[in-house]
Amino acid sequence: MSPTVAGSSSNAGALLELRDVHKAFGHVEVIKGVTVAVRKGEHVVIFGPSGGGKSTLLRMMNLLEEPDEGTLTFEGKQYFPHTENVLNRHLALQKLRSQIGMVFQRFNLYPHLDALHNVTLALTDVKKMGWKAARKKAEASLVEVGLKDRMDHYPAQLSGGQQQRVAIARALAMDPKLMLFDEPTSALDPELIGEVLGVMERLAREGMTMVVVTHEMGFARKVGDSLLFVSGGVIAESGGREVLSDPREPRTKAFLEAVL
Amino acid sequence: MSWNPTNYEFAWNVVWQYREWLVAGTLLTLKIAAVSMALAMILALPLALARMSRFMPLSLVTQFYVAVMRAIPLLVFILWAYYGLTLISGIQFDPFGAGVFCLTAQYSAWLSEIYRAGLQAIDKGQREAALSTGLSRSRAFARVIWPQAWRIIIPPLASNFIGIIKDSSLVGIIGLNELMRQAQIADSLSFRPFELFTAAMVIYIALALVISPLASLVERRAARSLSVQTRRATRHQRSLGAAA
Repeated sequence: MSPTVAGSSSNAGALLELRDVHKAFGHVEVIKGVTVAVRKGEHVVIFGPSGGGKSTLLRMMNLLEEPDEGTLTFEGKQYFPHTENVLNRHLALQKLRSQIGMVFQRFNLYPHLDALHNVTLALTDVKKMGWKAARKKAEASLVEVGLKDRMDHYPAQLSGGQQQRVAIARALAMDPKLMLFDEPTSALDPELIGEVLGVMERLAREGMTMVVVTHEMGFARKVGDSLLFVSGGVIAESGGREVLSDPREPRTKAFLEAVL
Repeated sequence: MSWNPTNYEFAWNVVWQYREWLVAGTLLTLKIAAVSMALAMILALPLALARMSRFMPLSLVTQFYVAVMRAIPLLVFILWAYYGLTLISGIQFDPFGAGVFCLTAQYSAWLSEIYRAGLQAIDKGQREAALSTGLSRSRAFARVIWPQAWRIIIPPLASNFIGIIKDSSLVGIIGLNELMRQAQIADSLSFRPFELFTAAMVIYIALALVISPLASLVERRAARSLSVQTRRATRHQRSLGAAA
């Protein structure tokens, strides 16, 4: 069963759905009508050429980027277009984002806080946990990404791979229902990519729902249930792993030949 | 006594003679500088945020304010506020009030530009990361953006504090007995300008020399203790929550 049913209305069971979204920056239309549904437990991999709209599409899923047109629903509730007045709109946005973890290409750790405090910040300030509970929860997350002995290190004292794992722990500690990864290994030295992908693979095995924008085709093949080839602002091709082994679209074929 | 630079007889004892005036003047200088600086530091934040606002009219009004403040000579401003503004507004300024008003108005404009530079130096990914975890925009600012910008802002704040101390010497023109005016009065009584103004200068230099290392100390402490501060803020917040 295809997880992306363009133009259909049979995505009722989806955890998150973007429907017919459009987005332009100035006069450049970067997303030209895309419909994506992510089901619970699913691992969606988005790949394609630079400037094709992959990141913009991902950033729409937690509304860091608001579509110009189209809808976003999460767990059956519509978050875009906004249904609330301006005051409650921000509360709704915060609620949506607190349930969706995001990992960025350039880590975006808070440089003024050590690893532990990077993770506890949202726990205390969003989940309103007390310090002891937040600390315990953050430590568990950092242990999970293999950074038990780096908790009191500041981002500047950590390698790129370690920083990205702290970023994953920061998202994970919030018990997200969905994790978004925006080219999580693109800024890493080659020898550090493995440790981050390893953590992501384990998360996938444990049943985390995730959407990953990546150029790591090995990872896509291993983990992806649903693969979306995004190019020119549209989903040019989608399907299961056969998209990688036996692409139908010439554009997909050309791209895969170039990166593999 | 005829003026002859070659055999001028120094009389440093006048400095000692007027020491209490000079000390009182120094304290008043520090007071007006500190009060004006504190108010300017507070006012500069909303100004900086307004300047950075995407709401154009707000940003333009702030830009205009900064441009005007940059254009007015402080001496003119002080005379205008003390003698002129009082007439048309009915606000009765005393010299201290007029001085604080002018110094605050001007320095809040400079400081808002410094704040803006500090805030804009923070990568926008920081805000995105904070928002992506569900933090509100104000929380993201208070917990992520501001603590980082603050470290960038501290060093220029120190040099502006030195600047405000020096500029406060102009408030003497409307009769505030700060250091400069005390030296002037002492001179008019003793006819010892070299000794008295040298003393005033040395005091200004000493104040600046004390402030610079103090500022670097604050800067280092700010860098070191941010994690601790965050933890304390969390605890504090929690105790507030428990009390509510």
